[in-house]
Amino acid sequence: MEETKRCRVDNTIISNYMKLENLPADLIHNIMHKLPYKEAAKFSVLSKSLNPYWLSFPTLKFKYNSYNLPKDVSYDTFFNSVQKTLKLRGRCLKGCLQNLSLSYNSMDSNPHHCPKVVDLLLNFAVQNNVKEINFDIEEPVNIIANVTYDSLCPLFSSQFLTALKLGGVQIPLVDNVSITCPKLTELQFQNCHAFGTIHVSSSSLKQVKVIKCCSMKAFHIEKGKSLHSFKLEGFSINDPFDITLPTDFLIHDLHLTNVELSKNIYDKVVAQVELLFIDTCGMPKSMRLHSLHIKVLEMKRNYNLENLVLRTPNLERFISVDSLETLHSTLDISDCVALKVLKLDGIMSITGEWLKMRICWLRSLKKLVIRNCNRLERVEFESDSLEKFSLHECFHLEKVEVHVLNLLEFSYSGSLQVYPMIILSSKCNGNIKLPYGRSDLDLMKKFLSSFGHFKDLTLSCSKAEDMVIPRQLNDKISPLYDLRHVKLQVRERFLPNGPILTQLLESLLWFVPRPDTITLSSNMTGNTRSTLKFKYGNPVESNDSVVGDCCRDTDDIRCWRHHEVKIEFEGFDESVREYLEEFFATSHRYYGKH
Amino acid sequence: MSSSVEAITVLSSDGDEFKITVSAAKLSKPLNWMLEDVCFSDDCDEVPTIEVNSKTLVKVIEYCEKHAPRANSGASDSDAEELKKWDIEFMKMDVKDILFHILMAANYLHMEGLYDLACQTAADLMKGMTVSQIRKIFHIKNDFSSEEQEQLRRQHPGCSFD
Repeated sequence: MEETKRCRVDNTIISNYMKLENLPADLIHNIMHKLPYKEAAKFSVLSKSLNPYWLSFPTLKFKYNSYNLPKDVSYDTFFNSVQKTLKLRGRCLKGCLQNLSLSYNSMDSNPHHCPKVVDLLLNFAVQNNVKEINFDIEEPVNIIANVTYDSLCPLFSSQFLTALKLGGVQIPLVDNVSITCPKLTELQFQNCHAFGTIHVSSSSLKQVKVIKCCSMKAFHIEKGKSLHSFKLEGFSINDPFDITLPTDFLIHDLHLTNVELSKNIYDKVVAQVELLFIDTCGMPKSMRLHSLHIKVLEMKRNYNLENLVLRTPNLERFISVDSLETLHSTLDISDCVALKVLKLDGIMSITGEWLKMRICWLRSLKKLVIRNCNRLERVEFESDSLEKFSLHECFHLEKVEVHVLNLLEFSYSGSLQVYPMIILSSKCNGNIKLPYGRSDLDLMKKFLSSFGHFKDLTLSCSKAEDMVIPRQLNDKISPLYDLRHVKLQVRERFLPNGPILTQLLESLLWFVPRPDTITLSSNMTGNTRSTLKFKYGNPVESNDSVVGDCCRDTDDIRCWRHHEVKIEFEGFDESVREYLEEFFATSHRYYGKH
Repeated sequence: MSSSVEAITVLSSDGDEFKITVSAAKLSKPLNWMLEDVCFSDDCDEVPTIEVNSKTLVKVIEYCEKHAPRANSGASDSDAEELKKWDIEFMKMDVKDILFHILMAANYLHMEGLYDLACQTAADLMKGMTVSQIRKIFHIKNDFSSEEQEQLRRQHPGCSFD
């Protein structure tokens, strides 16, 4: 291929003298885009040849904040500088404006100030074929209009607009507004008091946000096939709102917060959604949801709702928190055979019988959380698929017996009176949150004895002292002989040291007499974690006097003292480590002798 | 396209030959077109020329070869993390000598990832710098007369010239 090799000397010479200003405009503008706007403005003063790139930079941002302006910069100064900038930049933009942003935060009550600048910007934006508008206006409440409808109107049919975000826009109410922009993908109204009903026929639309717009009562999507996300947030559950969609239209995720849902929403729209989140909404007493689309349903604080029937065979995740609260409430999930995650919080109608019946049909269930279900007395079920099971604060719980061969994690908080607590799984880790304050020794012993077969156990308590439970001298049966790894998590800033630490370790070593590791951590500081690792050597003869004091002679099971032992300390301060070494050396004569 | 072709040979603008694997060439539309041309034509003698100098082309090919496996098959989060670190190391280069050339090459070869990475690198070099520091880093000559500077100072009260 030697002969095809051509020399391109000229080209090389030119390109070796490359300068920033010789790069194509698109490239320079892309670099500017990646800088904060103020820093991009430096291009205007770097050199004569770079200055034009600033003038043609297709992003314009204006900021006016009367709260922290120097006294000599008045509204007029701001307005004049906006005018000048538009004049200067307009000439170079040549109708290619990418983004126009305004952040206007004023306490001045002159009703003409804001409209003047907003109208000016909007007219400029429309003339320059703007693609993205991002306005955020904050003004005293008595101002009725901060923009004229005439300057807003052309935006709604713009052929170029892709994103329209309006915050704090106020005009005398316009009942119906049609948005027809063919390229629009993002539409957002926040704290706007301007429109009653929005009709959108932009089939390119991907995201809609309507946040706290008190005048807006309905949103009609008239064209298109799908929407990625729709977020609606109102002021109260008595704030009625309606959404309509074309048939066969699909919304990927719909968030409804603090509004009163129209009949149309809970009858039709919810069935055209994949991920549905309803939080603190005014709802009917009874709702039936028939949908093949829905995969996730989260209901929180919907206090009106009493009866919920889910005919949703593809639902994978159902979370209900503080909804269905009354004694007579009903929940029917018998068709939800695909459920993987089920969280039931504060549902009064859940009984042991209900749970037993339902869980055995949920063959894909991986995670189950039950919290504050106060009619629940017995938890008895079988599940081969379940991997995580949490049971929290169910006041009337008496007995638990679950056959969960593949369970990996069990979490519990609530009364220690529950007995027996049978979790039939051979590979489970446990997280137990102990009640506040020091618990009764016998109660604690009985309760903890249910977890001896766990792989490891994390006990969490508010103070380390709560776990310092002196054993009675004649009490020689420990509850957790088989447990090898125990963690204690305290909700205190610092881990204990000195005598409290050794008392705590004595107490833990009584509960868990032959551990491989003991880990202490604080969940307030996050990463503080100290571990003791026990390395056992040869067994020590049991006729030794020290040994005889701790374990029952008749049993074969022996505590850590019946072996030569070496202990490794990780994450302890040097002084604490020395203190502990001395403690273990005095309480165990074969300490450190492997 | 014949599946036997694993790499193609291209010429840099200074006339040096370079080999680039088929999967790496897929990161660039123009390279991909060249690849198709080479594979479909019977006359394989002609080696396509890329208007990028040798020094830059070495870097561009290095980038392509590193990113090709991920672009073609997708990767785990840990791979993405590792690749990010690699990108940062890769971009530690002289501005005048090579960064501008990489920018131009990425633009010319329609390589979105490299284009974005190089623009970000240039922007990061400017971030937090004063005007005179930026001029020094990017070898920009201040060619404003003192009157013009005065005028600009009035136009951009927030911008410092120093």
